[in-house]
Amino acid sequence: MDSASADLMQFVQNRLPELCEAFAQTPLMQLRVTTAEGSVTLEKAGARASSLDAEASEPRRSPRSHDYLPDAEPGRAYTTVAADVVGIFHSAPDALELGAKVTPDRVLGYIEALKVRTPVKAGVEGRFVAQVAEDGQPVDFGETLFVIDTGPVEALPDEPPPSDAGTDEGAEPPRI
Amino acid sequence: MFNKVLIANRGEIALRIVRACKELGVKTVAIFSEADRNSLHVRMADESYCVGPPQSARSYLNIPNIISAAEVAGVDAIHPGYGFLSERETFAEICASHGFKFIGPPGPAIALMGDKASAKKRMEEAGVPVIPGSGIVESLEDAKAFCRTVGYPVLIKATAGGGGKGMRIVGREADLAAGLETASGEAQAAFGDGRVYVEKLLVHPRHIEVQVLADEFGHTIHVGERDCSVQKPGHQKLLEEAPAPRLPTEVREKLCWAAVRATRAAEYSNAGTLEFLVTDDGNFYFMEMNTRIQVEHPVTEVVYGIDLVRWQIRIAAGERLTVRQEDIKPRGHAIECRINAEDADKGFAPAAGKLGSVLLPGGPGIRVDTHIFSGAEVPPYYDSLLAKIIAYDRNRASAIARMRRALSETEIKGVMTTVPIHERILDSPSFAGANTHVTWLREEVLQPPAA
Repeated sequence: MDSASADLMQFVQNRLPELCEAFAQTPLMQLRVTTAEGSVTLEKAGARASSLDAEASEPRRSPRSHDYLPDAEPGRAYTTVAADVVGIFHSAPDALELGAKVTPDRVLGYIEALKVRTPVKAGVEGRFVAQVAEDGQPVDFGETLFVIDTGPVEALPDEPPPSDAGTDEGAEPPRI
Repeated sequence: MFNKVLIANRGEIALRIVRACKELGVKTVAIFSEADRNSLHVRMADESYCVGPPQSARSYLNIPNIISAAEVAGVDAIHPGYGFLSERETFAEICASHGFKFIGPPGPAIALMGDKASAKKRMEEAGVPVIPGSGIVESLEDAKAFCRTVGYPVLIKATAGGGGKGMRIVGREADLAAGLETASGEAQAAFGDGRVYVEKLLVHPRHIEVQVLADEFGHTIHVGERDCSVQKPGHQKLLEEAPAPRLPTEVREKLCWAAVRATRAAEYSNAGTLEFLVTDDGNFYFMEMNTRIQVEHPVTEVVYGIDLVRWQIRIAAGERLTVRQEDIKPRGHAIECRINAEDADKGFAPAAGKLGSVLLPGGPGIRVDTHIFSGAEVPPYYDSLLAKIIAYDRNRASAIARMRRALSETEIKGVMTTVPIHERILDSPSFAGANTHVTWLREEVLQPPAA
């Protein structure tokens, strides 16, 4: 086995289970993750399960977000907002509705560390897709907290996307 | 003397109290949260109890759990340290009602001095100078009249205040109306209380505070002053020294005696600190009283040769303060550098995490108060203080040289620390000349004027 595929196997074993669980908790139907080791695409049950470069395995552990970027609709770009300090994540008191417009200065949440509350700003303009981190959860440097759709805002339909993940009864409601 | 004391705190101050107790032959009981299981204060104490999950509100602020630990351990007294429950009157009273001596001032003194308005009123009555203030602003005309009396610039502050919210500096009368409106709006949004008052703004004052000790028989002394002007943005102290440099003897005398009068007026006992702002014309103004031991107490201890934490315990145990005012004489100079887990270049961004190797300084004239060790965790739930390095020597210049040497020996791997910013401070010519003030660090070190 060459080192690239060994890295991929390591990724599958170590990070994929968590990724699957985190994905299951979002309203998204499809998710593609690209890392240095390779790329993986996940689809929700009900849609056709598929894999590109690796096989998805069953989630085993509690969800912890990682650097994942959901696969956006064609022509749209999603971006993630990551933790820039180690600390405890807190949702903003005025949480956003799914699909709401965000401006770069919009405070999406806070990270509390060493008695300092650091605001987490969107940093980009777009539409709010998902909150990945849970209120009160310890987060690491670089951990994904939010996903934002940075596609052309004016091109979006006025209606927010449906909040339940299609017909999948097992899907959890989005956490916002 | 007590048989057993519970320490309702964590980190370096918990360790400091354990050490004082050991030297007095008093048994110690540590409390800890789930995040502090492997802490040094837990290891050093005779007994320890877990009082809850990592969040302070559920552990170090959890009064029922702490009182339960005290009951189970069978202690005589509880030392609150600083922060957490140390300045909560209700905690002092709950301790007393459960038969535990609270090692600190009486509840009513905590309540009196903890309320800005009542503290200020009592100080004025005792003849202690306070910053001229308007009282709650009822009308623009009243505010204008007040500002004309004290002169501009003025500072608008929220009654419910804190954290800089609802604060506005106004430099001239034309801007007063807009300033009041903005400050009141901010205060309403932040605290649900839009009431504001106006104070005279002191230009580049120094923060000088006076340590006091009072026993329960009315014997009150001061233990000199500390200069804590080197502060991070947001009024957080970073470096402290004793005695205050560049302070005329007659101002020092007046300041220290005002602190003694203030302590008596508050019907205070145990250790406390009166914080003042001092202007270059030699005027000083009472800011607030900290009714507890302070982080920077070691500079006073080494310069005056007095153990403040030991006296806290002895006074609470009902002993008389045997130190006389005339025995209080400074010897040499001491500087304390607070080593925090922070990145000064990123606005003192917090840097929690796991420590790598830790090497701390030593040698002549160096004291280090810390709870960290190689491989220890810095949990994100509590404050950023990792260690206090105290350097003392015959005079200020040699204490500075000694501190530089101590910082060069310090190695803390794994997180960003304030060691580099302290090195910059010590290298600054204006620090060497003691030309510091409360916004000096921000104005002259963090954002120095373009050359």
